[in-house]
Order: sequence, then structure tokens, then C-alpha cells
Amino acid sequence: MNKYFKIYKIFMANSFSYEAQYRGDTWIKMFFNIIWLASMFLTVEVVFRHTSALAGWDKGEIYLMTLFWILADELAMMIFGANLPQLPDTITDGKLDIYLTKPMSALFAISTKIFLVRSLYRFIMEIIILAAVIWKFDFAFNLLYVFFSILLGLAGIFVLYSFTLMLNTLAFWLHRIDNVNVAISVLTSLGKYPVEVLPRTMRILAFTAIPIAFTAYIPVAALTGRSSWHGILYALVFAGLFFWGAVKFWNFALKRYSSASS
Amino acid sequence: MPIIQIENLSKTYEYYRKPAGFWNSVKSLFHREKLFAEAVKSINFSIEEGELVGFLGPNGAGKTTTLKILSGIIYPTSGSAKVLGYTPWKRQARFQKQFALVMGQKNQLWWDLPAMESFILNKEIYEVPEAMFKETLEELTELLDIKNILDVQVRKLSLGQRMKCELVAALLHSPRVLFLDEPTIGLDVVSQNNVREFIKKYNRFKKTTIILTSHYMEDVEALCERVIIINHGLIVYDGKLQKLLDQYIDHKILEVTFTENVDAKTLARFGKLKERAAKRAVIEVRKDKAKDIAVQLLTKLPVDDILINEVGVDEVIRKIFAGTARL
Amino acid sequence: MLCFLLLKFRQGRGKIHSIMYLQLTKTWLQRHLSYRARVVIWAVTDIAHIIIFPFIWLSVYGQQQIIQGYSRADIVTYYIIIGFIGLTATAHISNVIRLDIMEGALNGFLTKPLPYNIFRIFHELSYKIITAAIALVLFLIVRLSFPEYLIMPATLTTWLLFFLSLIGAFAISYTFELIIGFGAFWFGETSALNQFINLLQMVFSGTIAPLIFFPSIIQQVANLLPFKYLIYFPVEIYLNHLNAGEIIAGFTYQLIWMGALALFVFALWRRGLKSYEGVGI
Repeated sequence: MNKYFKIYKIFMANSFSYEAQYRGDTWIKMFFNIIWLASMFLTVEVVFRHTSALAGWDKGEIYLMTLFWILADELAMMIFGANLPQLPDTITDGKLDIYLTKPMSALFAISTKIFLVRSLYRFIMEIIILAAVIWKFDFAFNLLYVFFSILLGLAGIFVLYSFTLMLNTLAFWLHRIDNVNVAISVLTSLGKYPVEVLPRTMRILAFTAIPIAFTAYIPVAALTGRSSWHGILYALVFAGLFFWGAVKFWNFALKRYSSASS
Repeated sequence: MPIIQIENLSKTYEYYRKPAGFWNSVKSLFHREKLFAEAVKSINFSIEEGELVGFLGPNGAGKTTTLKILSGIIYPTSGSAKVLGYTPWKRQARFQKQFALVMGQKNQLWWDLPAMESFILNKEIYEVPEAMFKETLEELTELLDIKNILDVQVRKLSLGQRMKCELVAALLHSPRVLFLDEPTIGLDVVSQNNVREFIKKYNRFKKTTIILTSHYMEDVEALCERVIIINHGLIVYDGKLQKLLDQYIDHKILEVTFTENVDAKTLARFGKLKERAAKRAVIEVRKDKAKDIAVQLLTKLPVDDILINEVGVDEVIRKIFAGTARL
Repeated sequence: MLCFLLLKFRQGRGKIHSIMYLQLTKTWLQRHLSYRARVVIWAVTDIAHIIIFPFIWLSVYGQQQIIQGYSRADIVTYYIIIGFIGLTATAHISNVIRLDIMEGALNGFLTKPLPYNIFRIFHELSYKIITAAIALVLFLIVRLSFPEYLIMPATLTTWLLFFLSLIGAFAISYTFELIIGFGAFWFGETSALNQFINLLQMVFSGTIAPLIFFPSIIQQVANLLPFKYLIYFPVEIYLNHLNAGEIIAGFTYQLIWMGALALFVFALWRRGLKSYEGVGI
């Protein structure tokens, strides 16, 4: 696997080179990002103008959830956000074939080829905002909870990756579904809010087929001491199985592609 | 032991039919007709190490499909194929490190970065040792004369330069087998020639086995001693190019210009009249009679100039594709 | 802008042209139907982004029955109608236009006797036919499943005014899409512009929450922007929250915005074509 580390280092180096050429855009995009963040905080404010708690969560905790979501989304964007959404096009224009002839996992290449440097800058900025929020709302965290919330956060990224991969893999069968990534983005953005507000059926979906609860809700629930041991275990096991399922599905799709096309 | 061996290879793929019209579109929401196409029908051939073989065929003949099977991209429906002793579609790393595929119409280089970056990436993907990488890079860039453009972004290079870089990227790991799919397509005449020369030299020096598909007859004539012609999924010819030409070309072309007008009827006595303008005619005559007829023309008609031309390879191939040539 | 184009239609366009427009519509419908997964995904997207808000508000309401003039049924209906508007009166054409400009396909259109903008309007409208059909079906399902949460307007007048406001909303939405799309004449990569306008839209159209729930400064800014007339104005008509005066004023503002944006977009198109060099390949 040393080989894959080397390859990824080159991917990153190339991405930095690429970014260096388009530097002008970066500041504009940073500015828009700040406005985007502001709109999310505005939403929280609007809700809390009319209540002091949302399904048992106070304002500070909802801010925490929003920020956790933002950070997870950013991390996902950094690593595979510019790659997986290209999969439908890669299949259609035959570029996937080239990956299949190389002694390297095609899945690895199409998932990680471009590292979004801009996301890295934004991530740093968002961590600072997180620190500010923690300070403002005077949070004091249990170290064990912090550890689990970070672990669950990473599991959440795996869930997000698997979900995105599975839906983009459908491009082997369905044509022109690159907009599925817009749908994924919109659906997962629902994960900024406590899942308790949803009626039972939808809540179950959020923990299973449309796994929006894993990105922010579960990690922050753990952070604020709301999680049980089996809740944490469920999340970790689910993330593992979901990831395994996504990879299996990809392999199946590849097999079918190799059998059915010419 | 042949380095490439194909036995009874067949490939059938499925596709859907959707007749035109609005109501047919609505109907197709519920039910679509599935059809099958036989891209390759039980073909056989074997290639020895070091050969440079041309793979010819009209569009849809099955050559790209065959190439994709040999590269391991798709599975055959039945039959077997072995390249370097491996079954290609198992996609074993040991196999993949020994061959390369270059497609003229799909580039593999990173668009916004210098070609060198793509080379370095390939070095890691194919696990080429540092020293060997340096040596091979030196050799290839020298042969193709591209040392000075390695630092230029690929998108700023001309098509010809890009193709040369593609070739370097593909050969850095010194593959024993090379598949070239339309490598000269879209290139200008000079670049085409450079690429051809390079392929010829490379094949001779390194004894790399090369399969080349192309629509350009100049590629085939310049490079391939042996050609495999595939049409409608079947191999219609497999052998030496020269033999093909000898076998199917039974005539020559006489191009004559006259000092006065000569009528068609007179001309038709000498051979098959293909073209006629005011003081010019193109006549097809049998190969063995060409010289005699030329002499007759010169003595009996007011000839200004006369040329005896070979029939082009295209015409032979075209006839074979059209099925009018006898097999 | 639609009115302007409709007028243009009537000016000396013969019967032959109406056959062509019919065929154009049919062809576009076929094309949309052949990419049905794509259509379904857009429909899901249009609805999904507001689906959690009714539940958030119901949770906020708790024991309360009314917040700032919105009953529990009101607030749920609010978002359902937003979903409905998303499917029927929201345009998505900007990226298509951007690609036409960036990849040079616009050239092909400029040389044809069919005006490019007409071609794209039919693209969008035929797509709306399909999504409106989906919207109607979903509306009926929700109405049958949760009648207590989906308020229906009491009078025919309300319905008529609502649909009238939707036409204006669509016109404004389409014009914004053109503005973003034509941005490609100068910027190439218009995603930043796109995101920015979408953001403004999210906040100031009332998509996140009824404007009246927001701090007054936000409401004041919203009154100065056209986004209010995409969502908030139509929904308020539907919920019968506006008196006659407010409705007339609203329509007036909607028309003013339609006109202003239409003029702006025409200017953009003309300037854009001038600077368009037909590069692409």
C-alpha cells in the first residue's frame, strides 16, 4: 500500500500545482463561502427567535451541529468532492477504460484524483469559527466524548463517501444522472438539524437508507453526552457495512460494464 | 509460444431499441425492446513476439472491441484470449505492468499540468524503479525530440506534441505489448510521419509486439508487414500485406494527357475508362498488359504525357470491406 | 419577457411556425422522457431542500397554535406550496446556456433560423410540463394523506390569483437563469455567481422560513429585492394572508421586476453576443 501513498502524494502535489494557477478565484470563493456560512447561522437564529430549544437542543448545541456538518461536508469535498461527481461523465466518454488497463485500483483513482486545496483553506477557516462558537457558548467537553465524536465524524465521512459512490455508480445503468450529486448535496444538508423533529418513518430512513444522521447528528449527540454505547456501536458498524456495500456494488457494476458493453 | 493468442473469441452485447416519435417515448417508459449485436464472431489469430500487426476494418467492424478485450477492459462472451500468457480480463497487476494502451482520441495526460507530472504519476502506478525511469525517459524524449516541452502544460501543446507525450507516458514502463488505437488521427502530415517513424524504430529496437488500428493507409503501408482485416465481426484476411496487394491487385492505372481531344470510344478500346476530361483520361488495364498498352497508346494516339500508377491499398481494402473482392 | 415573446409570435409568424413549435415541444418532451432518471432526481432535489422545515417548525410550535399569523397548518402548507412552486415555476436552464457558450455550441444555434432563446424557452417549458404533472400528482397524494396539514384556498379567486402570481414567479426565475447563464460570456466559470444568487434567493425569497419570521432588517432588504416574488408573494396569496391592497401592490412590484430584469437581460444578451467570439473547440 506504500504505492498508493506515493500515488496520492502525487495527486496532492498536482492539485496544489493546479490551484496555484487559478489563485484569483480563491478569494472570491472564500467570500461567497462566508456568506453561505452566514446564511446557515441566520437560519439558526430565525428558529431560535421563536423558541429556546429545538427538540431538546439549545442554540449553542444547534450551532455545534451546524458547524460539525459544515466541517464534515468540507472534508468530504476536499477528498472526493471533485472526483465522484465526475464518474458519470468518465463512464460516458470512455475515460474509465483507461483506468481499467492500469495496475492500480480504478476506484481509488476516480475517488481521489483531485484534492481540493480551496476546501483546505475553507476548512481551516471553519475550524476557527468552531473554536469561536465553543468559546462563545462556553462549552466544556468531556474528553472521552470528544474522542468518540471525532471517531463518529470520520465514520460519517465514510458514510457520505459510500452514499455518493453508490448513487454515482448507477451511472453505469442510467444515463445523464450527474445531477444526482446535487440531490445528494441537498439531502445531506438536511443533516444539519436534530433528527428528533422527524416523524418515525423518516427518522428511520435518516439512520439507514438515506443516511443523513451520520454526518453531524450522531457525532454531536456523542459530544454532548446524548449517545448510548449501542448508539455509537451502531453508527460505527453501519459505516463499516455501508462502505463495504458500496465497494461491492462498484465491483459488481464494473463487472457488468465489462460484460455488457462493447 | 505466441505472445498473443485468440481462439474462437466472440462478443455479443445488448442494446435497446427506441423507435422515434412522442408516443413511442411514452411507451418506452414501460417497456423497451432489447436487441443483441454480435461485435465479434468466433475469431482466431495468434501473434508472435516482436511483430507489428495492422488491424484494419470499417467502423463497427469489431476491431476496437477486440482491442478492448485484449486490454482487459471488457469480457468476451465466449472463447479465449491470452496475452503474455495471461487472461486479460482478469486484470492482474503483473499483466498490466507489461502492456500499454494508447488511444488516439482519448488522452491520458493531466490537462492543466506539464507532461512531466503525468510521467511521474505513471512511474508510481507502474512501479518503475528510479534509475530505469530516468534512462527510459531520456531515451524516449530523445527519440521523439520533446525534451523542451516537458515543462509546458499539456493543453498548450499542439496535437502532434501531445501525441508524442502520450506515447512517452505509455512506454515509460517498457511494455512488451503495445496496443495503438488510431494513434495518428487528427495529426498533421509531419506529425503523422514522426509518429510512424518512431513506432517503426521502437518496434525494431525493443522488439515490442505492437497491434495498430488505423484508418490511414499510409500508417498501414509504412508500418505493417502483416495485416488482419476484420469486417462484420469476422476476420476476412490475415497475412502479409504484400501478399494481399499481389493477390487482389490485378490491374494498374494509366494516367494519360493528350495534345488533342480523343473520344471515349477510341479510349475504351485500350482498357476500362475510369475518368475522362477534355485532354485527359484515366484508364484501368490489366497488370501484365500495362506496359504493352502504354506503348500502344504512345504510338497510336497524340499523347503528351503518360503515367503508370499502382492501385492504392485503400482500394483493395475498400473492395474487401464492400465484399466485392474474392476471398 | 414572456409577453414580449408572445407578441413577437403573433407578429406575422405563419401557421408553419406553430407546427414547428409543436414539433419542438414534442421533441423536447421525448428528450426529457428519455432521461427520466435525471428528471426524477431534479424533482427530488426541488422538494428535498424544504422537507425538514415543516417538522422543525412543528417542533418549535410545541404547544403553541400560532406564530406571527401562521397556524400549524399554515406553516406546513407553506412548505408544501414552496415544493409545488419549486416544481412548477422554477427554471433550471442556466447551466445549459453556460455550456452552450463555453463549448461553442451557441454557434450552431446562431446560424439557424430558430432563435436561440426561443429554443431554450421551449426546452424549459416542455420540462415544466413534465414537472408540473409530477407536482400535481404529489399534491394530490399529500392532500389525500394529510388533509389537515394542507390548506386549500376557499375561493376560486384565490386560486386564480395564485396561478397568476406563479406565471410572474416563473418569468422572474427564468430571467435570473438567463442572467447567470449569460454570465458565461464574460466569466466562463459562473458557479460563484450562481451560488451567490441561489443564496440570496434562499434567504430573501422566504424559502428558509416565512419572511415575517425574520428580523425586520432582513424583511426590509427582502422588500427591495425581486426574490420575494418568486416564493413568498405567491404563497401568501395562497394562504389568504394578503388583503386586496397588498395583492395589487404585490402584482405591481412583480411586474416592475419582470420588466426591469427583462430589459437587463436583453442588454446582456446583446452585449454578450458582441463579445462572443465563437470559441469553443
